[in-house]
Amino acid sequence: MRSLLAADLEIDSTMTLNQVAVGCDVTISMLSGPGCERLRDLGFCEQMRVRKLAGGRNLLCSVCGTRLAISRELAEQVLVSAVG
Amino acid sequence: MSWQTYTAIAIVTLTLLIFLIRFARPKKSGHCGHGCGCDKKHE
Amino acid sequence: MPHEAPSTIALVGNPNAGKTTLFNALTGSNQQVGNYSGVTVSLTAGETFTPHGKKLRVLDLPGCYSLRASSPDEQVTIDALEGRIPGHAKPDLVVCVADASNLERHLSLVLQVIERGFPCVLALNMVDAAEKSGLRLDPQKLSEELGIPVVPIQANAGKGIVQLKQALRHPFPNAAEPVWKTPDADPDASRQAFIRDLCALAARRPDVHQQTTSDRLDALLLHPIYGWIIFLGVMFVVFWAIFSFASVPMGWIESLQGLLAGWVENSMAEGDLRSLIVDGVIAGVGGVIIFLPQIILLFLFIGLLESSGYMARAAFLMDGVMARAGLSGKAFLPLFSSYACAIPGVMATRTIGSAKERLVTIFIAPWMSCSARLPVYFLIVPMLLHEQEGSWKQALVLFAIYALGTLTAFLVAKVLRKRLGPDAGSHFMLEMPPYRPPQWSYILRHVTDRSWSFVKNAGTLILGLSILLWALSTYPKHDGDDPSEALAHSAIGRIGAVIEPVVQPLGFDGRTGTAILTSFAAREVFNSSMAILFRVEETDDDVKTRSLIRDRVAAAKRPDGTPLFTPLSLISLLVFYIYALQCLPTSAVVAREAGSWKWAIGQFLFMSGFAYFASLAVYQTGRLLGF
Repeated sequence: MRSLLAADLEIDSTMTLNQVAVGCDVTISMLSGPGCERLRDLGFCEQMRVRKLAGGRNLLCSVCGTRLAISRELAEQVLVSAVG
Repeated sequence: MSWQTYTAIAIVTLTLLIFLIRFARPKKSGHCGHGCGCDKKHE
Repeated sequence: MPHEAPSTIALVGNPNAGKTTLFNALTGSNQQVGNYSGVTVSLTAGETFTPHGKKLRVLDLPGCYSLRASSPDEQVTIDALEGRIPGHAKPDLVVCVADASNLERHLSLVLQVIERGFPCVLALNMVDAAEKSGLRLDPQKLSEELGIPVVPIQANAGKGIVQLKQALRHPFPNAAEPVWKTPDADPDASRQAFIRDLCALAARRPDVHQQTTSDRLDALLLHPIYGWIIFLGVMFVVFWAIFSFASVPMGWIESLQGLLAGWVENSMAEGDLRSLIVDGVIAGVGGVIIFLPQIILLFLFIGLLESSGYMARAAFLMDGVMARAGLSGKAFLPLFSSYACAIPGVMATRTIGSAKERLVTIFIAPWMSCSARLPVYFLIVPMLLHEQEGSWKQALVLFAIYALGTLTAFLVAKVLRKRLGPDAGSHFMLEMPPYRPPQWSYILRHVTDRSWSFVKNAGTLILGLSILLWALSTYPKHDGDDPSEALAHSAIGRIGAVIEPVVQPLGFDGRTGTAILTSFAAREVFNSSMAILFRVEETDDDVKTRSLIRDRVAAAKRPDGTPLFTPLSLISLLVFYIYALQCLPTSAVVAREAGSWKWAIGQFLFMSGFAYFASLAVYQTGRLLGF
């Protein structure tokens, strides 16, 4: 049973997909926001590995070998951590 | 008035009738003249 | 008594899973409704037979990611599954089509269908590509864990279809138990966990990310700078190719037309019937059929771009630009399709999640100059340039015409979008299919369908209108030799006289005004009308240039002797046609898709008024400037 403090720390040490550098591989740790259902349907699920291919107004990512494009707003709701 | 004129007028009248009938009756198949299939009622 | 009604099966799956390819493979020529630019936006129904000879009704449903009803597409799928669509029974079995290379993402929908209690069969499509990329598939294990039959197929090569039909034999398998469902856990999470475990077991991936050919191509085609240059280049090449490649077959059609007319004239004595055939039917219908080569090429290119996967990239690139107009990249495909015909374009807007964006897209779609305007453009543009068709100058002018319509549309979209207000955030998300060589059988069928519709339309509507127009311009008759007096005496001459004051400020005369009026029935009729209305101006029977109509119209003079069609009036005419909404079927589809006739009527009034005033402005400003 993790304490509340430890859980907070974990969230702080993760980044959103927007902040990831292009070309990096990351793992999705959490989805938070109104679009998370749609994101999961598309394939952005917890524990999925994602490679960011392009950034900007719309992001281009590779998930399970498929190229997916999502908007900045949606990418903001995807919290990731380094692959490990 | 030659036979040509009679025939021509007959064709024109027939064409007009066809148009009027098609306009008055709701089209059964293919609402669009360009023949694209349309969904059956969306609502 | 056993029911003799055929059972119904439905095809469900993510977009790009290959559902429609499977549908075509199953039903062959039995399908009733066509797809538009590869996007299934309505139900397609067809029939197939099991190996035992039992008939099955097959329903191809729109591609969707889940059964959550977040877009009109998904709502249609849910309705169809519940049997709520009139004319289609509730499916007895669902064939879930999944891309074997993408099971982690495609299985969620399968699980949701099973949860709804449908007997299911999983068709694992594109197994060849999956195997090639090193994926280790175990259909047996998948079947065990899911509790449903799993059939590997390769729909575009027709492989596995027989095995799939075997799985569809009667009696249908029972519905499976959704074993992943736990009573208190979040259904999404339990599905995800189940899928993760299942894929680790039965669909193992060697390396999570691989640099495929598609990735390498995308590095170039989606490049922020090069991608754009290539995109604009592709668009321009498409335009140019359509207008130059078609010139040879167009010449053939025109010669044929001339031969036919000559033969009839030589075989018959002079009289009304001969005139009806030569000046009414052959001239009228010929004036439209001659553009068949262009139509074919346009649909061919759209099919190629969509089938190869490039369309999705174009939507991605265009998203930024379309945002300036208050639209998203999702509106790109519907608007691009509208360049061919606004009707499927308007219907394709169902993939747009935001209701307000959808309405705006529907509203401006008719300003993407549709292919029906091409005959009119092709009549006028060469006159403007005094040149033969096929030159790059013409392509440039045509490009400018399309650009003008598009830019105005975006401006209006922006204004309209602001007035409608923001809506609950619906954000841009798009899946880019891998690049693949074009599926020729699908494209050719698509092109044939659309081209044949064009010809049928010419043979029926245009034929009828040509006959009526001929009558209006021949009767009432006038005794006397002067042909222009006879025309003024006829019904159409009188209409023209009434219209003249209204269209004169636009640079047109009564005859042109009449032709414009008739083109509200169908734009192509403008050419037919011009051919018929200007025949009395014919002074030279030798056809030196390609188009009889153009010759006559160009030679037409006003009562005071000055040429009727100056470059300025031609431009004014072009402007009118860019903006005028002259298609009742489009208005009908708009009314249905927008949900009310108010939108359709408002659109018609707005666009007609805009066309009139734009034409007026162009002509009057030009006159003021001394042209």
